[in-house]
Amino acid sequence: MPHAMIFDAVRTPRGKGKKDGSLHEIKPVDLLAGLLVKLQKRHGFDPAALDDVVMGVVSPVGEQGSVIAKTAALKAGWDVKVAGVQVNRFCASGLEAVNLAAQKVASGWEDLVVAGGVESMSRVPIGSDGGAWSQDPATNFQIGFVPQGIGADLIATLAGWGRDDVDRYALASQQRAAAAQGAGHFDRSVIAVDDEIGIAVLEKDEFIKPRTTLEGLGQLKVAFAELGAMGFDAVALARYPQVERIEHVHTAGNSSGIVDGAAAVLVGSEAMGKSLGLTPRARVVATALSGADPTIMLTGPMPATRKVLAKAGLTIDDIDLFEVNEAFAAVPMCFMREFGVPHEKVNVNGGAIAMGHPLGATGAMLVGTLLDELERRKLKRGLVTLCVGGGMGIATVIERV
Amino acid sequence: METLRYEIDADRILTITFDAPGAAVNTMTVEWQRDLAAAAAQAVADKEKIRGVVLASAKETFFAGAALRHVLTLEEKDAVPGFHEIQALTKSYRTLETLGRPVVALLTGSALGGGWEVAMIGHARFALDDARIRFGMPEVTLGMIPGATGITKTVRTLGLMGAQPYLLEGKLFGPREALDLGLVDGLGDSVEALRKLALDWIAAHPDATQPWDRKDYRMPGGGPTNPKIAAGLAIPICSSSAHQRCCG
Repeated sequence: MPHAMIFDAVRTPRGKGKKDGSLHEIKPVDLLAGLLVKLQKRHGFDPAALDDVVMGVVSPVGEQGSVIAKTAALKAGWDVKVAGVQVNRFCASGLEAVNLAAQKVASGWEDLVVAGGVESMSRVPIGSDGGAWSQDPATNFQIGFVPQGIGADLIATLAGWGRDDVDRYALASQQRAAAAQGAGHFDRSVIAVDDEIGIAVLEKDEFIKPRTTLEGLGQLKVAFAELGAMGFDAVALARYPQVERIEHVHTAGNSSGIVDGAAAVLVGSEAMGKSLGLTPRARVVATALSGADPTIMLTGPMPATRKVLAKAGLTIDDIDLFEVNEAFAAVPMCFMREFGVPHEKVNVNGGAIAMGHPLGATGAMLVGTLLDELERRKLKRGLVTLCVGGGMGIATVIERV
Repeated sequence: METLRYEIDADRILTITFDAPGAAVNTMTVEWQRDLAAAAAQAVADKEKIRGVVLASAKETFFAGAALRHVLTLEEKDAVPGFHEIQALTKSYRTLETLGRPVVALLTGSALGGGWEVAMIGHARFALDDARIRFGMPEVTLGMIPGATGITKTVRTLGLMGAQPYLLEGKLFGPREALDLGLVDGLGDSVEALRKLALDWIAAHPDATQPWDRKDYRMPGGGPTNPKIAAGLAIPICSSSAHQRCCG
């Protein structure tokens, strides 16, 4: 079985996902096509060697609809033979794309794939695609749907974490991201976004708030108490009778930020890399998917991590660094507690609380962040995991070569 | 400010009169751009002294648009400075239309291309009822596009479908058609009558804003993802029609 090698993992900076965000003026197709062009220029490979472009998009409608992966490949001027597919596994879409690419290559049926994702949340807002999961009363009544933030609050309640605990986690994310950006840790993989005439529109992540304080975080209004009071708390409590009520602790400050961004990871076989003069940086060791209770929704990383470790024949101690998507502070906190992993190994350069979570792209961005940091620290193995809508979890183990 | 006059009268009306020295028509010269930026900044400083703004012309036409001789010398290397120039210009427009005072354009003559974009700074427009007057954006017939708010404002006013003839064909229109389209708010027989219409409108609309700055704004006919527009392939037809007209 050929190994799935990672030759590079790049991303755009993350722009504030509002109308005054720097990337709001860039259409999603151009955000992605611009990144593909720059990835190709950086390595000089012939795009005709690519079998597929696999891109995660969580709201694949409107400007992000109609298989944006193929459209962007065409807009990038790539050979017409290069195919494209858009995938959606909610917040895991970007990592799902990387995993699919790895599986294509490892199966020997494809040799070179670009995987990643794009989400312009300022232009195609979250939820734009509707769906029975959240929009059909009969369905969400039956499956116990509640908004994710309520699940995050429930995780905190079950663990006994108060507002101060989750805010402390958020503060660390901000401090780590600001320090990493200041030290240039993101410079290798973040590629500026240019407009049509070549003016750089955004060169660095703009969502990080280096002046964040615990006091400031403490003053933010909790985000999900009202939704909870409308009935969602009752739905969740029916499944978790061990708690009397849900303590609402998550705010805009300790949850992932709404941003625009795109990511691209070049995955291929060793043989194809050799023929194109590409040097592998890492290989994908194993991938895994799982599901967990859909109501609490955000505990999927735990079974997915166990599954991927088992598949790889590794234990949690074999992993040097972790990227656990900071959908809400309680998610990585829960992961650390469950596996007994110290914060020193998890999200060492901050995460989505500080930098934002461009839904379809985040998973692929985390692969790049993890790989850069493994190289910087000369460590070997890393694990990426995300919580996913519907209670799913996803995990990937990579290893430097 | 050599290319325009900036006057506040006893009635607290600021009149900005375009009057390029030694020229038959007003055009968007570098000097005029600089003057308009200064006038916009001054209007902000004078905000408490004024209750409305009138844009007027001392020429036979209202405003003739871009300085074409200059535009024809532009090359690819001018793209970046050109972008910043247009950004600065549209910022002046935006400063005036978001000043918090009603702005009215007095169209005593034709307003074409960039000139029509100047007219669209106004929250309202009043035009002389004279069939010889022409309005519109003929840029596309010269291989260009209206680059200083003309496209966005026309689409936001007439909708994606409604704007097509005026943007993709460069179709011109007279004061009567402009009135029917809602692009002017009234017609008058004399300059004095127009001014009176403008002053009455200012008095009646102290809180005037552009429609797209209002919370309840919806694009007429729906946005590009509206099923009626998306299903009718309206957008690709736009670009293919433009492709056909300008031979690629």
